[in-house]
Amino acid sequence: MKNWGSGDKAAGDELTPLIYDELHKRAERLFRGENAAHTLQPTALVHEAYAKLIKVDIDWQDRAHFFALAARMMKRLLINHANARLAAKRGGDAIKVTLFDDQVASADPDSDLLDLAAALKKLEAHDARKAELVEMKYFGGMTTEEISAVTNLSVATIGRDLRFARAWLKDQLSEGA
Amino acid sequence: MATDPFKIIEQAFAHASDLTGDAKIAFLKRFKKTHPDLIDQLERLLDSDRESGKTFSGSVEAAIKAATEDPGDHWLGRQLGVWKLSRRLGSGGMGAVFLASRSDDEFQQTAAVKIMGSQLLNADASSRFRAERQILSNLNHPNIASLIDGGTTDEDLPYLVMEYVDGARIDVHCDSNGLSIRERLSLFVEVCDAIDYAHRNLVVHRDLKPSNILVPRTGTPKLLDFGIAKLLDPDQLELTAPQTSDDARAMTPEYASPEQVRGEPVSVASDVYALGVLLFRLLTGHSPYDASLTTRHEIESAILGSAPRRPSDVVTSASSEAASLQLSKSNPELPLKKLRQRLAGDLDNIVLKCLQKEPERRYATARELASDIDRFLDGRAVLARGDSWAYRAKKFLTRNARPVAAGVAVIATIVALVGFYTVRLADERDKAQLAAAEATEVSDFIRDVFFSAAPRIAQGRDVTALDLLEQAEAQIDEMSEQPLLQGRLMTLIGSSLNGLGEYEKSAVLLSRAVDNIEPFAADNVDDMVSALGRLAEAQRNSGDFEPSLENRRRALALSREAYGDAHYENAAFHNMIGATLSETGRCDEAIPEYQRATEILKDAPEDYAALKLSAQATQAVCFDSLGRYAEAEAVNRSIIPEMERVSGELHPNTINQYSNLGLVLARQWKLEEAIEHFEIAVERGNIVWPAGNRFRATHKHYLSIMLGRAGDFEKALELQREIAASTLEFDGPDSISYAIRLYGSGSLSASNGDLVAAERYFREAAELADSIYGDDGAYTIMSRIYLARSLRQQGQWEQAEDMLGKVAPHIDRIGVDHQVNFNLERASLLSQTDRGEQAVTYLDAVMSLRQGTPERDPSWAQPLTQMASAYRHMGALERAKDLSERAHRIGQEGLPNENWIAALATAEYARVLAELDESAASQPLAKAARNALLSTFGPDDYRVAQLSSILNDP
Repeated sequence: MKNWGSGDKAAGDELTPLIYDELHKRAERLFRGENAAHTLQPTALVHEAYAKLIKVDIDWQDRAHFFALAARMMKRLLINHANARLAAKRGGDAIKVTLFDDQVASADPDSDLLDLAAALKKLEAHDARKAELVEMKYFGGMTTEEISAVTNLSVATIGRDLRFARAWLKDQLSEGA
Repeated sequence: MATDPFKIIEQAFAHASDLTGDAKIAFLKRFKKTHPDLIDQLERLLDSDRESGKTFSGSVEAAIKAATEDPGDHWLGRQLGVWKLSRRLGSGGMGAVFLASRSDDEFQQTAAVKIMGSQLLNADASSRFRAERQILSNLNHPNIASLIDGGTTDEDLPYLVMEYVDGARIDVHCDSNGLSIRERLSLFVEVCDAIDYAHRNLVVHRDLKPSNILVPRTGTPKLLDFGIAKLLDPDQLELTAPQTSDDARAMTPEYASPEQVRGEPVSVASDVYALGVLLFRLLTGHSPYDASLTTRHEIESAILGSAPRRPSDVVTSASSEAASLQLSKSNPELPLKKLRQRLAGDLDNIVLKCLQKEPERRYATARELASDIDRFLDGRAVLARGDSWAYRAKKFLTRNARPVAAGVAVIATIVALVGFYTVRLADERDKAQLAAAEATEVSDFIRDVFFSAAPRIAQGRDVTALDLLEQAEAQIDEMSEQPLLQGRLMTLIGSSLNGLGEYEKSAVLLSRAVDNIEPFAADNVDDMVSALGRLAEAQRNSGDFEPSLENRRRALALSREAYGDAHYENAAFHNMIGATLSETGRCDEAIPEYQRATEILKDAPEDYAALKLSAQATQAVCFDSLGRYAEAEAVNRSIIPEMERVSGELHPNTINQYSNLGLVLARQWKLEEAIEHFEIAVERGNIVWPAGNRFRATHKHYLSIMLGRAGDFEKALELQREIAASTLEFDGPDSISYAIRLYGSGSLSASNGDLVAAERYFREAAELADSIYGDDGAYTIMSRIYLARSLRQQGQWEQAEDMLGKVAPHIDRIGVDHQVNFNLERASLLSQTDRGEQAVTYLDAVMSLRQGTPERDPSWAQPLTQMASAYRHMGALERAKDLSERAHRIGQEGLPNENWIAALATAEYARVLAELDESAASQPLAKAARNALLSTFGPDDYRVAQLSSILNDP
């Protein structure tokens, strides 16, 4: 891990499955409570995963790299789950019984997420950098400063890129609807 | 110019998004001309940019949530042991719950089967699940859903089979059956009983909320879901869930107490808090905090920072009209205004007492809460008013921190405080008894005064309550034509002022009350006794002990005259007289008072059990401070089982009692037993008190000192570090309590032979204490004395001498034990720097300071050893032999085998003998001492090395 900030990609690859498992576990734990009113910040997940995996202090830039990688993992994890669940739903046997009336079901988180992922893939075809920024921002919960540390882009550039990417993705999503 | 449409759009977007008004319109016009095919997309993008509505964070969050839910339902129809799963009842925090039935026997039985979700199958979750099983199997109560069976599925998923409760959530049950306030309260009391039962079985539920309490048609509420409950039993600690911030997340935010939100350890008080939220909801249909809060973060901030609303305000405020109407609709006999009136006053107070931010200000137990509701239902006065005794005790400690720390030696101080603490309970009880006897017209009057101003004090706390009392006082002045009623009101308001810490004002008003009532005393004994008793209390609180005693005795005399000598209530007066006497250093006079109280209550009903215990506990404190340790030990020991029965194992009094007994054992150097008792106090204290609580730290401190005496320095220092960490967090680095921690670590390091660390700790402690209290602060003086010792032991004579010089003018500010050490230190320094003739003066001073201590007392071992060493250095070997032999014998007889303090005494004796050329006698002693020191301190210790130098074959 310590080599990673200085560009040793192998260290990052080794960590990948670990991060994936850890995020998975953390996410599950967060939703153990049945109340649907929590807001869940991906940041919290990623930071906890970080705290668990990286016990030693590493410098700030390295941490940002970790978050960038974790953001990608998070996206992959969520897409896998959403696909699996959609498949199950098509099978038609999953009628959810809600015991408690404070449990509010959202519209359809799975297709929402998959739509977003598809739009993001389109964006990637046009402009890979912007897609990556979106990934870090929304799936990794990273701050602009952290993104800046990983990408070496200025904070202003990141802000501009994200603003455009956001508008573009929204446009894509509303077209699909 | 870019040709890729994406790039063109991007550039145009970047440009246009910063423009406004005409400039923007003009730009778009131009763009439309040059790129007619792209203008639509650009406009859509600019629109999307403006709308703030949906964000991707929301989609991602929803997806995370969805990804973590249990997929599919392949369980239906499965057979688990004899149980067949027939229907999914729901998904809870730990997995899924199914309805199941067994039909293997002639009888049919249904049950709820809870299976741990496979996605939760990790060590942490499994241990929680097992913990729940363990917890449930220990709980057998009509209001707790019982455990029938349990096992693991073929997939190795653990499952529990529980009593199936076919009922509605408690809040739904109340509303749909149109229960009245009274019926709701009775139902709630049953829930409290169940929780209290769990607490008595050392279980904290931690996730109380309406969906965990179901009411079947029988009307008996049942508690479910001990999924995140915590076992308090120290023997089963390995089964408990780890206390991480995950725990806080696992529970429902609205019902979480401030300490749970902060991720701090939970206690009985956390359940009491959740019960308060539940009661709030049952009475008003609302949450105690603003209903518009929805996110977890908003709710948590409100729990930590906002004052809860008053139930009576909630049902009146416009925003909640709908729900209140529903509540009163379900009670046709109870229109809205009436509902508000029923809630205002006692019920408001009861609910708000549960919802206090500081755990120690809530009801100490669920049972206390239930009793207060019972009191309300019976029309008696409730306890929930003003501040709790624990809160006032804490205030007292804070207020008196300086004089207490500066005046007395540490241990003595703390004994007095523990004693004080116990006494307060009796006092509180005394008050409750008297309050119950108040005429109803009086309390109605006060309630009206409070109620008329209620809307204004919705946000207020103590200060406003004080305003109100003053307002009431002014109104009383206008009723001089009714002196008796006026006197009663003055009594009530005066004692409320006392409760708010306004002792002088309270005493003035209560004296007037006594004067008013006196002419009518013959026919109104209770009023007179009550006024006198409360006046005595206010005077005691303001430090006017003599008038307080006089009034208390007067009250007692009246009561005896009216009700006879053996009247149970008299015991409270004897008790309080005893407390005042012992507070003013007259323990010998106090003891007969306590004895009398105990005698009176010998066959008293259960209601008086706590008072009796209080009398005995305080009597033990008196024995202790008179040095009558055997008697103190016997009494302390005898009341523990009774205390556990009456107050519960986790009551602060019970816990302090363990510590009190520990102290008495410690004074007799029964170290092992003392450690056992302090350990219990520490373990239970960790459960009951929030981090940062002084009692919690105090018991740990004792344990640490005892471990040090017993030679377990590693554990002892670890405990000091623990206390220091929490002191830093709660009191900050510039507090005297932190200085005390540094001092504690210094003492342990010094005993452990780590002179460098000791020097550093004492130096820091001295500097910090100096910056707070100056040269004559007790901890400044004490730290400097021991700093001097560490310096001397490292051969830095001059620095050591400087330090002692700084201390000398203020030496009468510290306790006798520390004065002894000061003189010893002076003598040691002088004798080691060849000024023996001067040293003798200080050594004589030591003897005279310790004059009252029995000759055989183990506390002689250390000073005698050090004195002997001083005489040895000045060549007065016969005197040194005499003293060190005495120290050696005391060590052999009064201290545990191989104890390091005894070994150091023996070592000194051996060294003196060696210098007297009595080698035959010296060698075996030196060997034995060396072995003992080796096992405590290891081979590198300087004292071991010193001893090796006189051994023939080291």
